[in-house]
Amino acid sequence: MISVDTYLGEFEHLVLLAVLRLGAEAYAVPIRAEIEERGGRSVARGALYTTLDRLEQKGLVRSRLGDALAERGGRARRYYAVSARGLASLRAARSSIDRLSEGLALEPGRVTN
Amino acid sequence: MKGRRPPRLAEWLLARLVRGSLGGEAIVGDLAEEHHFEARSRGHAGAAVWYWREALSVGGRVLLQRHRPRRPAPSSFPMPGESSMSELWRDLRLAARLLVHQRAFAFIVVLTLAVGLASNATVMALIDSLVVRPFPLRDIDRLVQVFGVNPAGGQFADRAEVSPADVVDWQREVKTAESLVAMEWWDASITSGTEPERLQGFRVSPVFFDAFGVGVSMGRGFTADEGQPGRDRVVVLGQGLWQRRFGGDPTIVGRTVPLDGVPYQVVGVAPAGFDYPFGSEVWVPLAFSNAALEHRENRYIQVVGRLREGATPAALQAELATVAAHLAKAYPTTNRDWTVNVMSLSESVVDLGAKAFLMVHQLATILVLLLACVNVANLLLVRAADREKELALRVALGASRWRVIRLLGIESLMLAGLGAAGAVPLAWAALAGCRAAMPPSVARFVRGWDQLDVDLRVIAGLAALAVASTLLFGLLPALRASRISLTDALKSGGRTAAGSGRHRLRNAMVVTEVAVALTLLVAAGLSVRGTLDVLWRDDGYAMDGVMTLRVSLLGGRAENGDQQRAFFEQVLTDVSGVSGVDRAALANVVPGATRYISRTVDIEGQPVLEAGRRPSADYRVVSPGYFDALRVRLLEGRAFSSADTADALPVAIVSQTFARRTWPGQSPIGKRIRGTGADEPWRTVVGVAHDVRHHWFADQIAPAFYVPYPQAPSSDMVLILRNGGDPSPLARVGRDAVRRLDATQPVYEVRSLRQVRADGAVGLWFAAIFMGAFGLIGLLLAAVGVYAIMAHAVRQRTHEIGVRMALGASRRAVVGTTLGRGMALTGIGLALGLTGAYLLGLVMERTLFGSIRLDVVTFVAFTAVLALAALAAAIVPARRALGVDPMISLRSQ
Repeated sequence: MISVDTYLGEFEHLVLLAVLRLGAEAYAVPIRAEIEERGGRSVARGALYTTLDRLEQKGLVRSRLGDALAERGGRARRYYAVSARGLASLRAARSSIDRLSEGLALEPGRVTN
Repeated sequence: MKGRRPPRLAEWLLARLVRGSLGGEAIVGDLAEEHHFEARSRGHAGAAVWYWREALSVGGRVLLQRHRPRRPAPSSFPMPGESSMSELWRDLRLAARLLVHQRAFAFIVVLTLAVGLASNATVMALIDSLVVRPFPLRDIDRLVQVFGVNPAGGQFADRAEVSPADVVDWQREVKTAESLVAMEWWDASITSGTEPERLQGFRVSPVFFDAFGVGVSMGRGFTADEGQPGRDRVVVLGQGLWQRRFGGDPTIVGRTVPLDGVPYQVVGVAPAGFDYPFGSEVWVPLAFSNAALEHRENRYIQVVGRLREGATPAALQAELATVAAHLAKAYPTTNRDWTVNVMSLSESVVDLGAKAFLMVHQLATILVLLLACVNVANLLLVRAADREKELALRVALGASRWRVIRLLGIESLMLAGLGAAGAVPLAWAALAGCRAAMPPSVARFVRGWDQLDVDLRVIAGLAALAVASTLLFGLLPALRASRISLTDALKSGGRTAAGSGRHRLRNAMVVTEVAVALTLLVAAGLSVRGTLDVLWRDDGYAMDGVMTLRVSLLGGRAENGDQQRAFFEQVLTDVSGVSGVDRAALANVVPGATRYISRTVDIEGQPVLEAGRRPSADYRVVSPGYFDALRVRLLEGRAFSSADTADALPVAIVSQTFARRTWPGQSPIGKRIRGTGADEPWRTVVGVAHDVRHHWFADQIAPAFYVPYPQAPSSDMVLILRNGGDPSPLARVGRDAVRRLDATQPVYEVRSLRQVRADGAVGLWFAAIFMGAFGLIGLLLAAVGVYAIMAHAVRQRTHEIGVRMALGASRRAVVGTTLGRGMALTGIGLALGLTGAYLLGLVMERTLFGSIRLDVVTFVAFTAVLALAALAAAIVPARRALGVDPMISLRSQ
């Protein structure tokens, strides 16, 4: 069992989920598109890169370089994958959110206090 | 395909910014990929804007992230210094937010600084490419150029060429150099394929490519035995020529190409980018004939040496000086007092005078930057006054004086950084303009011109200047702002006494602005006037409505004088019959061209001097119509006529300077002269022609003598056509005439005579445009600056003016004091500026080869212009002072 001492920020959380969803196709361009489409918020490219960088340093994602492509001026894509540690962080975050949300009425229109 | 690429500069910048971060390369690739899609939806221009924005935002963010202190891990202790780092970070963000908030202010400051910094970066790039490292060769430190030093003196006496026999002796004796390469200028025409083309070539010692340490990119260089007469029909092609004319054919080595109608076997292709000397595209081995070795007085060889490991140019200089002394003793008639001059190659390829010339311009740009800094300092001071309450509040809440200074310092640095970032594209555009504006025929003589760019070295220089200017414009306002008196600033009146210190600073700024601007304006005026003068002045010939075409005959046509004469005379006859051609003539050289042909001369009845000391004169071979076609006036005697044929009495016409120097006080008509050469005849002088200035930079007009073309035929002549109007249609007339006779003969250097002169003076053009731009920028900055300073002064004195007027001061008196103060300061500035302008003018007079004359008109005119601008800048605020209503101004607190 991996001990989880890393807490996820909200944006980090979204990025990790997007990487998971995209699977083998997870590099910066579609990751950003995924968060914008599904997450319904706009994402500054610079913020995404610095976050991916941070996640990798924390050991939550791994990355590898793909092949160089002509339409990218001969530069490779950097593909990301969620590490075991990243998965554990996601689970931990999910369960704390679940526990904290338990019994609260958060659906629209039914907010009571 | 081209439009699909992201903007190069932005991409380069992004790559620099994100380099070293984890995803560096991939980020650049991602943006390139997205740019691809953006280009489809936004179009080319829209995508470029999009890319710039994203590149700066992504790059900036990644860069900041990298330098941002990491949050400490939860378990670790706080690091020492951590708190001050995060404070710094907070100040940075605060400063950034302030700038975003005051966008208009920031924009003006950044624009001002960007213009000042870009001027500097442009000239820095020029100095870097042309002077500091004009020649990007690995072994450049070991390469030297060896010149002869002409004891007769003259403008370029220490850069004289060398005779073949002297070089051979040097080569035999020299020990401190691995090799001495002899090089001989050799224009060649290539005639394979359809259109004959004229190429720049050099005959070089076989060791040439080894000496430069560049080798060849294909095939081989020359072997030692190819330096023998008869075995020298081999050639190395330049990379560009190989691509252009042979489509980069990989089987070129071993094939033959016709050069000047003679087949040469291709043995190699030079590496890309190598075009020494002077944009060469073909090199063949230099083989000295016995005849060439006999004439030590014929000096036409250039020499480049490669030093042995550890040897210095000074050592070679000493060694060759000894050899030269021996030669002078052994051959006194030709070599007496001739010495040598060894220069490092990187020094010798620098365009003569370019260094001093560019330094003057760098000085001017520093003045521009100084003006920009003064303007920005004033803006910051004004803003600091507006921000006094905010800063006082910070101090009251416990900020130390140091914190306030630091906050303001960071703001200033940020402004300077943005200014520098803005300067990069400006300088880049300016340099692109420079590259485009330079005619290729001149660019090849300016070593380093093709490397002009905003490179890392220039950006480093820019950054240093930005920091320096931050100190200049930011320090004073910051120090001043930090000395806030809390009680004064926070009192509800908020009125701060404009202390005498502030007055002094403001006065100094006005004086500086005016003085610097006047210096720049006058320098600009002198430069522009000097250039226009060179381009338009009467140099002894008429250049409007004249087209020139150079023709160098090849093959059978060039074989002997009769063939050459027959060809050119036929061309003349043909073009003379074409309607639209008023006059047609031939000359070996036209006035203003870079080509230069001179000969030493013997004078009948005067002692013949030894070879090294004979008088030399420009040698002009011309057809009878020449003087008429170029409107060169004849002062005495007659012009050449059709009667001066090959078999007639040999005749010559001399220039007035020639006549004055040779036969002072006598008429030259009937005297006889002889050009030095094997079978040169004595020529009887039949006329005296008005002087023609051949080169604008020559410090005095050289003597010249003319001989009739039929008596001195040559294969290389310039066809001169005149129509008195727009000469451009004449180019076709001339080309057609040559082509009809023989389509294989190359016609080149087709230029109007005005263009010839403009090409020759292109350096002056650049000087005028640069200086003109700096002068205009200076005027603009100074006018805006003086206005801003005066306006602020009046604003600060609103209360005082209100009191004065309430106490009965007349409006006249109020305007009078405001305006009077401004004009007094302007006067001091003008006086200082005139002094500065005079000094700068003296320097320019020296560095621009006398094209600039210090004329009173320019000084007076620009002093008046600046005085008027300053007056206008002072009047507006003064009039505003008039509008002060005492009641309102007193109540407004």
